[in-house]
Amino acid sequence: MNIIIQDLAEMDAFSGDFKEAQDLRERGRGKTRHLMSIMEFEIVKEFRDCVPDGWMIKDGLVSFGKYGGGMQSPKVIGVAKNFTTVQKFYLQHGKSRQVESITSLLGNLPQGHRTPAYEGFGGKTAFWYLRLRKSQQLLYPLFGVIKVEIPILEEQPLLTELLDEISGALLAEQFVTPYGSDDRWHSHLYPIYQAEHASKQLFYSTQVIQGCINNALRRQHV
Amino acid sequence: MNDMKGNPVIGRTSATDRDPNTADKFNFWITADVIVNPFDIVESEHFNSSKTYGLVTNLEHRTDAASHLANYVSNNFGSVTEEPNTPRVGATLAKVNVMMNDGGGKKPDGSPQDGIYMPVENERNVRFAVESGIHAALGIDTMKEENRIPAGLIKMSNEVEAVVYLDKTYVIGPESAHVNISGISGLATKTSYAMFLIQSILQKIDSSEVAVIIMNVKHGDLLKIDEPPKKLDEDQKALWLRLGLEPKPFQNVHYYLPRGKNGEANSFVRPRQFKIYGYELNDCVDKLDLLFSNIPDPTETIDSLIGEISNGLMYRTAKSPFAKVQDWQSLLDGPPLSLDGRSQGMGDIKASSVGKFRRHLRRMVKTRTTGVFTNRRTRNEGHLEEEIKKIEGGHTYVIDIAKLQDHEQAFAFGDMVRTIYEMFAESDETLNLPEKVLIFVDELNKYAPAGLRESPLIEQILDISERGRSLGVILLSAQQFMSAVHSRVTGNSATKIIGRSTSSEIMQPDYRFLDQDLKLSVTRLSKGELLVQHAVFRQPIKIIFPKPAYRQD
Repeated sequence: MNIIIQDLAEMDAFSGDFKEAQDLRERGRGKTRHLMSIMEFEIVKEFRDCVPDGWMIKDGLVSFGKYGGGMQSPKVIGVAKNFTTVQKFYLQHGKSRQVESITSLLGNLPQGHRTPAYEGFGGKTAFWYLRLRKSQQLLYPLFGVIKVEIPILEEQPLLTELLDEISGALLAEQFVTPYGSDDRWHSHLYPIYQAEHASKQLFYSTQVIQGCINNALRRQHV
Repeated sequence: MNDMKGNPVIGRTSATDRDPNTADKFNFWITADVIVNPFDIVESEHFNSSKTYGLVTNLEHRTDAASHLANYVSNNFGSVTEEPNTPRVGATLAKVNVMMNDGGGKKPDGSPQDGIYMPVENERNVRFAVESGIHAALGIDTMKEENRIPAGLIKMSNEVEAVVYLDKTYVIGPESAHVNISGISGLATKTSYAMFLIQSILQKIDSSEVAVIIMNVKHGDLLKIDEPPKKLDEDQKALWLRLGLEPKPFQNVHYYLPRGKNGEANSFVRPRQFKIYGYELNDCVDKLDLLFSNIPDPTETIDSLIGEISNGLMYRTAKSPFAKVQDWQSLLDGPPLSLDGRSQGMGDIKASSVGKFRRHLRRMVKTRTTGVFTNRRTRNEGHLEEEIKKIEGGHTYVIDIAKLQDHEQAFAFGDMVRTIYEMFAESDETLNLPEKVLIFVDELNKYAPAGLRESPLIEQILDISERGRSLGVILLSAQQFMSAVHSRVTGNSATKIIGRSTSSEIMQPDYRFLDQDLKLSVTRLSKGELLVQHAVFRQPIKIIFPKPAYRQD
């Protein structure tokens, strides 16, 4: 097993500047997400060309941490099961500007419908929400909704038809769910669940990693 | 993936923490589009390039759904109109009972390597067994060529076929003997299979060594076995030939039909040539106990009385009390049992017991007889015992009892069995007996029912079951329910054949030799399919067999 030692003080898109989060555990988590995102992006680049006519779904978002940027490939979307609930949406109606919370935006969204697309990260990405399941069948009104994100690229104009087509394809994946096996079943897309499940089979267990770290530390002391 | 012979891999073994492979069992998942069914025989790669053969006993389809509720939710909470875009991941798993391991090659002295019975490891390639592999798995490969009796055809899901052979030494002795067939009626399995097996035995061994006695218990099923069938389909002929047998009717057949009240043959069908048999008192003197087989006799009073009467009749003189007893009528209504219409005591036996004896005897030989019991046989009517004593190897004797009353059937069967047993048990050089005699009887439960009750007939059948093997008297029996037959009879059968049975029947202890999974498969057997458990085989197998090549109306 290769162990790579990372400097937690080093700034990255998830952890931010060292001063912003002093808790090392928090920074460790951020660093891990940062490294995972880099790997994900590399994998997307590697596989994107394998299916030139198809679209690729990246689990999570295509934007990179809280500083934006990230994936800039065409025919790639990010799908997130979890999203922030403090997000506010500004809707411009002529001269008036309306503010809407995510709860009111998604609470009344009917099954199979999507929200309008919103601009994010200073115009680098667009995102929208899509309701896979009726909220009446779920514990909370925000369950059963996925967030879809797409990079804004010159060569890929974001027309309504395109967003509808993507939404339709995602809706078609709503039927098989990992109900009973995963708490996020209501917003899981089954192919992503399967990919996640398959890759997790290859993970080392926490005990093995813990043992490797302890062993490495013991050797250092010797 | 194919091996050199083009036998494709159909899956790989799978061992998990909760469901490990063991020395007795292994599991394998099946690749998509491959069909595997219970009773298929497969081979798995194992250590030292050996092969482990196994019998598929059950199949399971598993998905990643945590519960049935997960599947319900996955269908949009119970909607049946949508189809999933990405189907749920699932795999079919076959459960296999290990039959044998071939050791993987030969020892320096040319003998086969010892089998390896360590569990098959995870991820080993699995294929359908080929015919030679099936023979090895069953132990047929080590059976001597001259001992092989074709018993049917294994037909696997991949259309591979293998002829199944029984070992002669385990069917007609001397290693073990007897065949018992069970299964519900109406599927043309039990009788057809028995007749097929008899034909197979006669064709594959020196038939002059074996005489066959067949009891016809239903309709005219077995009264034209020497005539060719009106029509035998080409595929049936091909099946006979595939088994290395000639589709032909029985030869040298002798039919014995019971006499009716009018002296004519009392039979559903009349063969081209036949003899009529009947029983007068003198024929039955030493067999009266068989007549009372089904009469409860807890104090053995009737048994004592029968002893007195038999002795009296056998050694009667002009001065003995039985001097005037000449036929059934005079036994029933004359001295010494009766005087002026009233029953008389005999020695210690009270008049009331003699009265009971007379009532039963009157019912059996006079009021309720179909005519087989008669005061005097005519010259055309033979004595069955005398006819049986003339049996020869290479001949088949059919005794019709289909139209007889139950007590008459039991008596005729008991008479035949006792005669045969005594002939072979007390055989000396003066008797020119065949080496073996094969007795086939259907509805054995009538004659040797399960339970603790003993009767002269049961004792007779048990004698054959337990000692017939060494004497050369082989019982080929059939019944609907094995559980209804005396366990010592079925337990002594080295070969058990099972046709479709009900689930309540196969849960009886008599079917302990079947794996739990296979038991359920027995309820699904189709017409013409049978399960064979043979002393040589390591697992029961499913076979098909050809239709009889004799006339069936």
